[in-house]
Amino acid sequence: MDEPAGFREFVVARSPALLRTAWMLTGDAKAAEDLLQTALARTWPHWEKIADGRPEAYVRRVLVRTHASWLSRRWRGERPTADLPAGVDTGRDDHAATDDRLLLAAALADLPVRQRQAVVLRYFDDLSVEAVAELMGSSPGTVKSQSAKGLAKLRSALRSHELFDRPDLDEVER
Amino acid sequence: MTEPMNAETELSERLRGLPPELPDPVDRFERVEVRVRRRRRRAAISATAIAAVVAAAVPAALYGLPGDGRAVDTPVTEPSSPPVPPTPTPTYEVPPGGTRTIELGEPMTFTETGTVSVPLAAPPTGATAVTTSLACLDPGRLEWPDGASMRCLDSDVVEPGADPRDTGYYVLDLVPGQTTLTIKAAAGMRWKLSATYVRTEQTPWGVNAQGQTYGVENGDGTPDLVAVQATNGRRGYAYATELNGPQPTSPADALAHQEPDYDGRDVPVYESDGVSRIGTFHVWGAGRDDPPPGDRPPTLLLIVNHTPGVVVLRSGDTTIEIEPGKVVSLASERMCALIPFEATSADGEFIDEYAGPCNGQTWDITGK
Repeated sequence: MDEPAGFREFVVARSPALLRTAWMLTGDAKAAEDLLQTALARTWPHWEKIADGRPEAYVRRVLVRTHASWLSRRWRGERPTADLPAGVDTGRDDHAATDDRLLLAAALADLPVRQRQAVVLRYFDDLSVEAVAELMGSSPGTVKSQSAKGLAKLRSALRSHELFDRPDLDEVER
Repeated sequence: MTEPMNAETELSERLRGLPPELPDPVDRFERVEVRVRRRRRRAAISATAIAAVVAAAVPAALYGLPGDGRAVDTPVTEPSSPPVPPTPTPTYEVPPGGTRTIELGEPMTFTETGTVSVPLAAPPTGATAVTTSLACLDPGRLEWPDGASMRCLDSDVVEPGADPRDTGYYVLDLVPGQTTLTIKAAAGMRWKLSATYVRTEQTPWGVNAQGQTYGVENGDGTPDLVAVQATNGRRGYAYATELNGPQPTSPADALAHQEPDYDGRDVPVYESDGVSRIGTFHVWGAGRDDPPPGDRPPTLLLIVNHTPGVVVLRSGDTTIEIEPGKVVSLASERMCALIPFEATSADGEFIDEYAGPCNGQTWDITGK
């Protein structure tokens, strides 16, 4: 089995960023690595065809659709909050920061898969509505509505704990 | 004085602060490579397991059905997979009770264009089948004598000097006195064939410490423990008696089990020892995804293409094409062994994948 030219370099260079996206989608380090490796393995056979185009967009698309497919067919398991406090020490203020992160992560995990994907791709990966629509196989309008709903739920969850009381969040997506 | 941070920006920053430090394995690429090999090898095992019976099994197991469920004549696909073992010693893992192939001669290679009947050398003693490896030198569709087929995209085309066996193989049973193999292709489409005489033999079922047989169903019947894939993806064995379930005690009881709301039941999946539990296999009720009427085998996995375009299913080097709005029914454990499938558009864009069980489920491919 021949190694496609340039694929190894791509994997080395882009995996850290892709892994972070995968973590945002799955909320779990092991699942994120599994998702990333699955997406890369599925990209391998098509590499020569996509290498000259936008290979990262292709991998992200596989990542997103594989994630959706997994969620539709697998038991999601326990909430992956255990690895969130990594890197956070035991200082009092950091406890509060950890609470913030746990709360936001839990709220993100509670979002329906399409909303979660839209929020992650729009506001974590900072992709345009059009780019997210392409990755998700949706229309731009659907991406806007899904990300708006997702943001509203995140805001609601955060506001309920008085951690993110920002009325202007209502106006984020039009 | 700084402008107040936009709520969207603030939330973005909070989201970006969520991921913990993630491990970055130095051997990630090698792990990916292993997954690619495993996917291809899985197809190889499947192709080997179906070797002796595949010529009959594929048309019987895989129907192209129009949306209303009526059967159409054309069988849909073909298996093939990684390189043929170079020595007479079988090198692929064959499930107990499955069929393996043993090469008996040197490969015969042909490079042809369009539909051609290639002449075969005199068969060695004991030859019962031919392994065939086809490679496309131009994009298009190739069809084996039994109606199985493969479709090559531009990316599948190989150089004339390539060894077709690198693309996988497919086993055809020999008819006594057979001297040719006819490969159908569009006029002008070039292809290359490697054919090798083989002997096929059925492996014995395994026997565990309790004296129970385990393996796949074959011409000898059903072992005590039948190979299944659990809902968690692990492969193991379920007791045949539990798969069959409680037998109805009366006509009314039998009818009750055919009600549409009968959801089936879970059956434990074990290691081959029949004791060590590793998962669960779900047996769907008779009322769910009823097999189409007639004498066709029951549907194990119904695959529905809801997208507006052709969907290409891939498992290793095996491909299945489904026209828009059409349905394909997998109807044998051997075809189920090709799972996981990846669905792509005709130009290779990823759409969906299926890695679930194969016992009456429906896979709706929507492209969403």
